[in-house]
Parts: sequence; C-alpha cells; structure tokens
Amino acid sequence: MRLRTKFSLVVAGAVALIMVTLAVAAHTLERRHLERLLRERATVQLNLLAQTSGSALYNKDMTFLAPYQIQFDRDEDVVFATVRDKAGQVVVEVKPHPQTLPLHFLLEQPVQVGGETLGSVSLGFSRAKVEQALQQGTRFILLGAAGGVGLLVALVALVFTKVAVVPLNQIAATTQRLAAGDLSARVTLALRDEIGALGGHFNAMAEQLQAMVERERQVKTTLEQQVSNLLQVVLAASTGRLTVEAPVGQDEMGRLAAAFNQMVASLRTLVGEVQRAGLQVSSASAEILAASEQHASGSAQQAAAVGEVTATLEELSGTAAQIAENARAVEGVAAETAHSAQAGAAAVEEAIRAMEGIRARVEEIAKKTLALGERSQQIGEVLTLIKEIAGEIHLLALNAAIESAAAGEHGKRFAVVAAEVRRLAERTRASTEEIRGIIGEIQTATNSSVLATEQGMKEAEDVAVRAGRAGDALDEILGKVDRTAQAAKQISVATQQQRTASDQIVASMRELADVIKQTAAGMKQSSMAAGELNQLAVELKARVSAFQVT
Amino acid sequence: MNDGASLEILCFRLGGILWGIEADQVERIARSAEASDAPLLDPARVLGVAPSEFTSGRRLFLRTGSARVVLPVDEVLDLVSLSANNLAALPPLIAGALPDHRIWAVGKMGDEILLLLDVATLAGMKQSSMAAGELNRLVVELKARVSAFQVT
Repeated sequence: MRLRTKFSLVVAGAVALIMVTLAVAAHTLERRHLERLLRERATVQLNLLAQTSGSALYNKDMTFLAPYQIQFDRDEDVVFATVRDKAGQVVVEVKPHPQTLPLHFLLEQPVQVGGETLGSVSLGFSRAKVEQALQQGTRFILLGAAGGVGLLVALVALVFTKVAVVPLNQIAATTQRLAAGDLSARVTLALRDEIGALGGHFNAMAEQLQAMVERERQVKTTLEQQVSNLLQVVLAASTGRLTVEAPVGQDEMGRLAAAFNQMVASLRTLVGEVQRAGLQVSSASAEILAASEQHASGSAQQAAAVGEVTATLEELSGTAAQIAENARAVEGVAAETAHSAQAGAAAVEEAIRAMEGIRARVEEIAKKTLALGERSQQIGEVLTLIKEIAGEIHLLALNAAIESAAAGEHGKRFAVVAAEVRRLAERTRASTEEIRGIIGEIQTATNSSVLATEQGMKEAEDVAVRAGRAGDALDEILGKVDRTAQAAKQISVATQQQRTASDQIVASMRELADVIKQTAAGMKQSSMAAGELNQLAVELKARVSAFQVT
Repeated sequence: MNDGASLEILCFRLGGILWGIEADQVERIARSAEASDAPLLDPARVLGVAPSEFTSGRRLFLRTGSARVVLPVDEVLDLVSLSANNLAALPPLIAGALPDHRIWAVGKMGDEILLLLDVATLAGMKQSSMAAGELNRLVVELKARVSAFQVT
C-alpha cells in the first residue's frame, strides 16, 4: 500500500469518527424533542376523550363518543382508543385495535365525574411519524458528512503528495540507481525541511562510496596481474611440464609461488619413480597374462578331454550293464532250458520203457490172436459136422413126416413130432450158418488184428529207437546248456566287475573335471586380473609419459 | 390147416425154381449117393433145368399107383400144408402151350411162386419128345407171366 493511500485512509477514518459522533448526538436530541411534542398532542387528545367518556358513562349513552370515532378514524397517529368501566371491562372501542400493532406508546387516564371514578380510557399513539422524521434527518446528516469527508480527504492527499511523496520518490529512485551501480547518481532537492536534510546526507554517503570503490579497483588490478603470471606457470605444470618455476617475491603471492615451486619439485621426483615402476609392472603383467592365457586354454582342452572320457566311460558302463543283464537273461534261459531238457530226457526214458511194455503186450496179443484164429478154424470144422448132422436129421424128419402122412390119421401125432424135429434141424442149420458168418468175421478181424499188431510192433520198435536218439540228443543239449549257463555267469560276473571299475573311473573323472573346471575358473580370474593389471600399467605409462621430468 | 380142402406138399428147389409135389406121391427122400431101384429122371429133359453142382443134392423116390420114378433135386425144403384156396390152375395160354399136364397148378409160398408137378405125367413121359431147349424157353416165359399174376 502506498504512503499516500495510508495517510488518506487515516485522515478519512478520523473525520468519519467525528462526523458519526456528531450525527448520533443530533439524532438523540431531535428524537427527544419530537417525542415530547407527540406526547403533548396525545395527552390533549386523551383529556378530551376522558371528559366526553365521563359524560357518556354517566348518562350511559355512548353516542357522545360518535364524534371521536369519526375523528380518530381520520387521525393516523391514533392507533387505538378504548373506554372501560369501573370493573375494567371494555365498554366501547372508539378505535378498535388493528390486526398488527405499529410502534406506539400507551396512555391511560381515569374518568372522574364529580370526584367519582366511573372508569378509564386508554389511547395507543403511533410513533411512526417521529421515526420517519428521524430517518430523513439522519439520511441528510449522513450524506452531508460523506460528502465533507470525501472532499477533505482529497485535499489532504493532494497536499501530502506535494510536500512528502514527490521528494521521497526522488530519493528512492536515486538509491535505486546507486544500488544498480551508478555511483554518480545524486539527489537534487531545494527543501529546507527534514526531507531536504535526508537528501543532503544521502549525497554525502554516495560521494564516500564512490571514492572507496575507486581504491578497491586499483588493488584488484594489481592482484589480477600477479595471479595471471602465477596461473601461466601453474598451467604449464598442469600439462605435465614439471620443469617450470614461478618467480618468487616478498609479498603473499611471492610466498605462494615459492610453495608452488617446492610442490612441483616433489611431484617431479614422484613421477620419475612412478614411470620406472610402471615400466616394470607392465612387463610383469604382460608375462602373467600370456602365461595364464596359455594355462586357461590348456585347462579347457583338459576339461574337454575329461568330459569325452567320462562320457565314453558312462556309455561303456551302460553297455556293460546291458551285457550283464543279457548274460543274466541267458543264464536264466539256460537254466530253464536245462530244466526242460532234463524233463525231456526223463520223459524220453519213460517213453522208451512204455514202448518196451507196449511191444511185449502187442507180441502177446499177436500170439493170442493167432491162437484165436486157429480155434475159430477148429470151430468151423465142428460146425460143418454139426451142419451135416442137422441135414441128416432134417432128412430123417422129412421122411418120417412123409411116412406119417402116408399112415393117415394114425400118423398124425408122429407127424407133429417129425415137424418139430425138422424145425429144430432147420434152426440148427440156420444157427450154424450164423456161427459160420460170425467165425468168418472173427477170422477176418483176427487176420487184420495180427497184421495191425505186427505193424504196431514194428512202429513201437521204431519209436523206441527214435526215443533213444532223442534221449541222446537231449543229454547232449543238457551238457551244452550247462556250459552256456557257466559262460553266461562268467560274463555276468566279469561285466559286473567291469561296470564297478568303470563307475569308479567315472567318479574319479568327474572329480578331475571339477578340479580342472575350478583351475580353469581360477586361471580365467588370474588372466582377467593380469589383463586388468596390464591395462592399468599401460594407462599408467601413458599418463606418466605425459609428464616432462628432465 | 383147412378141413379136407388142404394138401400136404413137399417143397424143393431145382435149378433155382421152387417146385412142389403132393406128399402122398413121395415114397421117401434119399441121399444122392444112394442107389435107386427105379428109373432116374433127367431134370434137364423133363423140366428144362439142371441141378446145381455145388449142392449136396437129394433124390426123391416118387410113386403113383404102380409107377415109380426117381427125381434128383438140389435141396428139399419142407413139408407144408397148402389150402386149395391158395392154389390156382395154370393160365389157359400157358396151359395151351404145354404138351401135357406135368405142371397141374401154381401156388405161392411167401413171395415165391410154387409150381406143382404131376408125378403120373412125369412117370409116363420117360421118353419125352419135347426138346429140352423149348421146354426151358417155355418155363422162362411161364415164370415171367406167372410173376405178373396174382393168386388170390
């Protein structure tokens, strides 16, 4: 906020406070005056109403009050008017209470006729007119005060600007120029007051400041020259020319130069030593690098070789396991074969024995069959005899029958016997024929049986011979199977041993591979370290070579 | 057996044919080897058939009235009783073709035809003029015809 504004506000506030105080005082006084006038008028009205009400109450004729009713209706200041009897009961409302009561004051008075109180009257009188008048007065005062205040403030501001603000602004602008570095800036005020004195003091301060700055500038120029000389020497040293030397004097800069010369001498010695050491490190690290790289490549080859050997051995181990498995399987098969062959040999022996038995039986059967054939031949002969006898009996019986027929009635019984005998002979003949047929069949059967038994005997002999051969073959098989089983067992044991051995070798190879791997890793690290060392030596050499020592 | 109306017939086989002779006309049956005291008939001449060489053979001694003849046969079968109802006369055509009555009737035994011989005629024709070949032909024809003929 500007100085003028602040000052104007203060003035305006003070004037306004005074004006308000005056206005409040005027308002209070006017209110009192107006209320007194209003009360006087109201009292006159009340007295008149009391007198007339006395007549009305006394005569008990309220028409006395009719003129008041008309008058009060017209009079806006009368809010209400009421006449009451002795008991306080409302006798008549000359002007009834309005719905909403405005701001008013109440006046009451007893009604007396000849010293006797007949009742009372009350009158409500409006203060509206007083308030209205007061408001108008206040508005006028406030408007006047506002106008006066505004005018006064404008005047004060104008004067203040002329007297204080303009000179102060000039001092401020000059100060600003001085601060910006214009040491020739001065205040030009022809005032004899406090602000004029301030301008004079300010100018003196500026003069003093200008002289001081001039002195400092001279000192700075000299110092800059000395520093520039030293800087050239230092720059030369910084580029590595350690043979330079700064000019030495008696002042501070001279002592600084001496210290610098000493530092450069120390540095020269150090760099010389570092150069020699760097050369040694470089050659050593190169040797280490070469050696470790050679070693690393050797380790890698070793690791690869070990890996191949391990793989081959694992494969060999797997193959050995397979061989062992196969050998075991062969052994098992051989054992089974031996078992089967033994069983077969036993079966063959049994078969040979059975064949011998069969041959003996068949021989016996053949003999018996031949005997049977002979017997049936004999039976055939007997049968021929029987048949002849039967034929003879038949002939005799027929002749007897013929005789009996010739004898007529006497021969009849005999004829019956003869017929019976004839029938028997006939049956005998038929039976002999039947038996002959059966014997023929028996002879045929025995013949084929004999043939069959002879053939059977021959076959049985053949079978026995073959079974004998089979037995021999089985015995041979048994021997070979036994040898096979033993060989398979030996193979199994050998491969098992081989497998164990190769497993051990594989384990050893793995350990060896681990060791080689670790060695290779170590070599790699060494190689890397040697490489880094070599790099560092090279860098060191390059850097150190930038320094000129001699 | 029928009362009075039945005949006792001796059946025999000769040349494969079944023949029959009334029992009262047979004197006896004898072995082939036995000597005969009566004239021996030649079956081929009188009946057109020859006895089989393989059978043992019998001889029938026949008799009718005072005449006696011997007939060699293959095999004597049985003495049977035949009812007259089971016999029939020869068919007229065959009877007419034969020169005499040596076969006087036909009968049936089982499924076979039985030819009944008249001994008197056989005894009287010791010297038959009939050719054996013709008689044989006639017998074969007869056999064929009779086989188609139903005997009641």
